[in-house]
Amino acid sequence: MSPKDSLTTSISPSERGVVVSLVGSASMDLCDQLHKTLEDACQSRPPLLIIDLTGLEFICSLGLGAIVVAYLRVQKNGGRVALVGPSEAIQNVLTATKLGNLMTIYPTIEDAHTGR
Amino acid sequence: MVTPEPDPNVERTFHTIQVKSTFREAKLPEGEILKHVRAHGFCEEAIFAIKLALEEAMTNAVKHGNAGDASKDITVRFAVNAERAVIIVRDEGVGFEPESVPDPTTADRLSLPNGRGIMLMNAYMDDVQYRNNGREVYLVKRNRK
Repeated sequence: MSPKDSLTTSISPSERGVVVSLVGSASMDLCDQLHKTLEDACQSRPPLLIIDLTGLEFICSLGLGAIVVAYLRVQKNGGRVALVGPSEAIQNVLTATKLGNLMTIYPTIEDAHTGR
Repeated sequence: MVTPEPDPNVERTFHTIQVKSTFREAKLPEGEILKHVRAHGFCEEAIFAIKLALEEAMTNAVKHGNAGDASKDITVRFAVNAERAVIIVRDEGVGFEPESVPDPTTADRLSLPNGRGIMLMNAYMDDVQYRNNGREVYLVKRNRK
């Protein structure tokens, strides 16, 4: 068949909350991993959850759903979610689904911190 | 001897891959289909679109069509040539009416975690048809060189 997609996720603290970095492909068979990572990142009730999409090459609706679930959790606790650095292909998916209306998209993590 | 390419205009000539209804198995046809798509010179944008639409069709088959029953099958048929790629995904479920699925981009549905698959297939493919009472989705992507 073909080389398997892979998804690398990491969580790191930032000055105002937590940064989750996604590298690779959020394919349907890997979205449980994405969901778990975002759930872990939300445990500390961060005032700001930054999802760094710079290294993300692909995302399906299950991956988008995992991000929306994280958004709802953070928002419930009074925080905000920022998406950072999507490629043109990922940006197009966010535009088609109008998720850019739900969460603000920033070019860099620094911009996400300042909210500009 | 050279095996002739399946003709996207003649469904009986298509390649067929059958998998069990789990996300891991549902991922398997993708590599084979994308290999054919790349070999016929589709651009990266089209490859992304086909991969996305196929994942959405397979996700719907696993979650909704076959309702998470891993003993059921998903049948994928496909044919690719230099002009277009045609993919048909069939599940063993009871079917559904695509018109009854609400638009996930309206303000009141935007924050729901689910329900974006059909919209994404429609947005990224040139033709999307539901057949056999919704048990089968027929996807077409044209090759714009």
